This record gives sequence, C-alpha cells and structure tokens, in this order.
Amino acid sequence: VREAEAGDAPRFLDRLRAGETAAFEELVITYQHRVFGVAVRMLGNAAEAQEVAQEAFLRAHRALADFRGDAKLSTWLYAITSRLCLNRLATAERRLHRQGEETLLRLAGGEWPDVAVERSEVEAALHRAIAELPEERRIVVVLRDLEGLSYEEIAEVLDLELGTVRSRLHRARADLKDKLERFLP
Amino acid sequence: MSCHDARESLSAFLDEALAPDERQRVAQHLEGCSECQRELARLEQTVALLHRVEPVRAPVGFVDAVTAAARPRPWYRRVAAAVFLPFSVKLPAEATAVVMVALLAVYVFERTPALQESARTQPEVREDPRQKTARPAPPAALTDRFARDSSSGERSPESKARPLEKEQDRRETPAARGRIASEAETPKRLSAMRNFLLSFLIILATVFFALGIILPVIRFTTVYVWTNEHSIATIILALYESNEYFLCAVVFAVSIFFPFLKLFYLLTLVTSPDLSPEFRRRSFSTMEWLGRYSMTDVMVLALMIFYVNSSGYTEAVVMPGVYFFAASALITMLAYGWANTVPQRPTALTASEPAAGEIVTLPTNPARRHRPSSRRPLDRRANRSREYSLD
Repeated sequence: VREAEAGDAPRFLDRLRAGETAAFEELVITYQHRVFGVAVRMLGNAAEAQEVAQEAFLRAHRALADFRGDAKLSTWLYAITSRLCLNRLATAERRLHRQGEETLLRLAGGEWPDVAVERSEVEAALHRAIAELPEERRIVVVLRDLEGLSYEEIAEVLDLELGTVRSRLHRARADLKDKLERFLP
Repeated sequence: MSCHDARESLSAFLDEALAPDERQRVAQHLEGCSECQRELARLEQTVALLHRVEPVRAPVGFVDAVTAAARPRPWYRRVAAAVFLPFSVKLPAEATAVVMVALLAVYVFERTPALQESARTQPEVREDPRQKTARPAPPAALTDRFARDSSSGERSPESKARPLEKEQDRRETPAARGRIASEAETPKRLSAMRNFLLSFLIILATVFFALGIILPVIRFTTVYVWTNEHSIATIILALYESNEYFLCAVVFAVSIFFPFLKLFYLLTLVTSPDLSPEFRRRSFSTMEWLGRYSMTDVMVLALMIFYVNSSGYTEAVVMPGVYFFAASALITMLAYGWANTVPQRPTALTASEPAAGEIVTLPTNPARRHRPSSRRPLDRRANRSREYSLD
C-alpha cells in the first residue's frame, strides 16, 4: 500500500532543517497524498481535510528546525496529521455536527467533490463503515489497513502502548467485519 | 487458551505482530477450534476488503497552496502575535501587570518623603514606658538587634514626664523632616542609599513577580509540533475551569497570594517608618513563614519537567517565566533579609548618646523619629523634652 520511503536521506533532512524552500516543496510533494488521505478518512470531508493537511505541513514547516530525525519523516507527519484530525473531531462544534449525523450522511451519499474514488457499492459501504467507527479506532485502522503502517509505527504516531494499538485495531476490525458482513464471501 | 483470549489476538495474528510464543499458542488454539478459524477467515476477508480501498489523492494545487502559506510572516506580525496572542489570556494579564506596577510606583512615589525621612533616623532601644529602669528591649529577633545597636547608652531611672512636648514633636511635618534629612551627613546618605536600594529591589521583585506569573513557565512539545505553553496564570485558570478548586486555591495561594503578601509587607515595612514594633515583628515572622513556600512552584515545575522528559514522546522545557518567578522569590528573600537587619549606628552619632545619669528618651518605635540626639545633639533641654511620662 505504501510508497517506498523516499525522503529520509540525511542530506534531505539537512536541507529541510536549513529551511530550503525546494526541500520543503519536495517534502510536500512526497507526502501530500498520505497526509491528505488520513485527513479525509478521519474527517470525511474534502474541504476540511485539505485544511487540516495544509495545517499539518505548515506545523511541520515551523518545527522542522527542531526535528531531530529520531523518528521517520513519514511517522512524524502521520503523527501531526492524526493529532490535528483527532483534535478537530473532539471540538464541541464538530460533536454537535455529528449528532445530526450529517457527516455520515454526507459520506454515505458520496459527497467527495475533489477526491477521485471509485464509487462502487462496496466502496461506499466501506467508507460508511469506517466513518462510523469511533475516532480512536478509526485512526488505528486507517493507519494500519489503508496506510500500511506497522504496529510499532502506529504506537509511535499515536503515542500509545503497543498493546493498546493491538486491541484498538482488533476492535476496529471486528466492528468493520460486522458491518461489512454482506460483502464478505 | 480460551476462545475469548484467542479472538483478542486474531487481528495481530493475521498481521504477524505477535511474539513467537503467543503466536504458537494462538495457532494451537486455532487447530482445535473451528469457530475461531471461521472468525479468523472473516477477519482476513475484512482486511482484504479494506486493502481494496483506492488510495486517496490530494487535490490539484495542494502543493502550491501549502508552499505559499509556508512563506514566513513579516516580523512585526510575529512579534504582535507573541505579545498579544491568545488575547483572552494575555491582554487581561498584561493589563493587570501594568496596573499593578503603576499602583506600586504611585505608592512608592507618595512615600518618598517618608523614605528620605526614615533614612535619617536611626534605630533606638525599645523600652516599656511603664518601667523606670531602662533595659534592653524584649528578646524578639528584631528588637534584640535594635537593643544591641543602641545599648551603649545608659539609662537613668529618674525620667520625668513631658507629654506635651511629645505631642509637639508629632506635629512635625514630613516636609520639615525632609529638610532636616537633606542636611544629612555621610552615614545618613548611606542609609538613604540603603532605603533606595531596598525599594528598588522590591519594585524589581514586583515586576519580576508579575512577569513570572504572566510569561509562560513551561512548554510541552509533542511530536516537535504541538507546543503547549503555560504560564502560572493560565495554569490557575485551567485548574479553575476544570473544577479543580482545591488545587486552584493552593496554586493561587502559593504562587500569587503569598508572594504578593510578602512584597506588600516588605514595601510597607520600608516605606512606613511609623509602624508599631509589634506589627513589625509579627510581619517579619509572617514573612519568614511565607518564605518557606516561595519556591514551591519552581520545585513543582522541576519535578514536572523531570517526569515528562523521562516518559518520552512529549518534551517539556522551562520558559523565561520560571526565571522571573525564581528571581522574584530570591530578590524578595534578599530584600527581606536586608530589611530585617538594621544599619550600623555610625560612631559619630553615638557620641551624643545620653550618658549615665541622664534622662532617657523613650521612642515610640525603634526604627525612627525619636532620635533627638541626632537632631539637636547638644540641647539637653530639648532632649529632655522628649521624655515619655514614666509616672
């Protein structure tokens, strides 16, 4: 699922840390789809996802000078994006929004203007099932099964214990299995 | 291994994310349990379904939008943001600080004649007016020191009462006193210097105290990106908002109320020479008691930083606020220690001490004012005119 780890060479990190504009642009080009992908699956709304993804890159940009490189760039960007999404989902406004189930309806209705997704029945059901997961399970399943991170990476990204990642992922998959029962062979 | 335990591990089993021995146990259980086998198969199919989801692509123009937004803001906007954001916290805090400093300045300014005047005065022995025989004052720390300073003079028991003159003396205006002070000799100027430095230290401590409360004292950084800065003021506010009233009260008392009280006491002691010795002594012991808690905040922050940094992922660093707060506490302690000592009596003045057999003057307070010898050193009658009624 995941593209090859491209930009973690020490040279590239140095250029980033030095504040080189071209290096930052390279970083955005390399990671834009992953960052945006996590955001759109967490938030279920392309406009909001774009906003959050941009915010994630900007935050990274501001903090690049302090980035020590003890984590991979991808892990770091995933961590920033996940947190931004979870924070946004946790705000009161958003919660109100969800009480009206608007987000879910929007997702199920497939209102994804800019995103090129196959709109098959399975696909729609999948999106709906993922969107219905509680956030802390959703982020784990998105990172694991859609973005292809390892358990260790997820633990690092979300600042969780490995055991917690494991159990959340299990619950998330069990939920999905129940919801997608009719599509399973 | 029970079915329940096995199912908990199936997802990790699928991902080969189990420890070898655990994996073995799940495998063993699966061999004998068709239910769990079925469960594993369903799970595997679900995951396969998830893998079929098309990867999402960021919208066209996303990179340009990000790089455009990443261009640095002009410096004045950054400075403004650092000073005023968030408005809800920083503006009231800054306004409070300005008002506090202004009030303090006015207060000190108004007291300036008294300051000068108190510089002129020297400590005297404190005596019980009802006692006919003069003795060094009671052994409380402060008065003890006064006693040591001035015990060179010997007292005569046969003092006579002149309450009227005392009244007269009281009517002396601060301006008159100031005039006398301006004619001061070197030791007096030294004393004025001391008072000026003391008030300066106290004002400095107050400003630092205000800064220590307003400026962030700690910053938590998560993933290098989430910086959470807290000042003592915002911590107290946050505690209040999360209904931790007890903690809020404790932190408020220890970090705002006590230091404020200390500073206020100190200022009062320095600027008001007319305080009764009893009040002086009590306030000093109160400050001593308060002093024990002055560094509590710094300790708590040190522990917090140690804890946070030892637990990984989130980093905590101290911010300038701590230094201001600590400096304020230290300066207060220093000023307090200094105010608690009394300047050495210049030898030139002891010459005019009443000799044995002379009439004793009994000051109302040890710190100042009833120091006839320094004002009219040779006028015995004037000296006598300051006696208290000892009958």
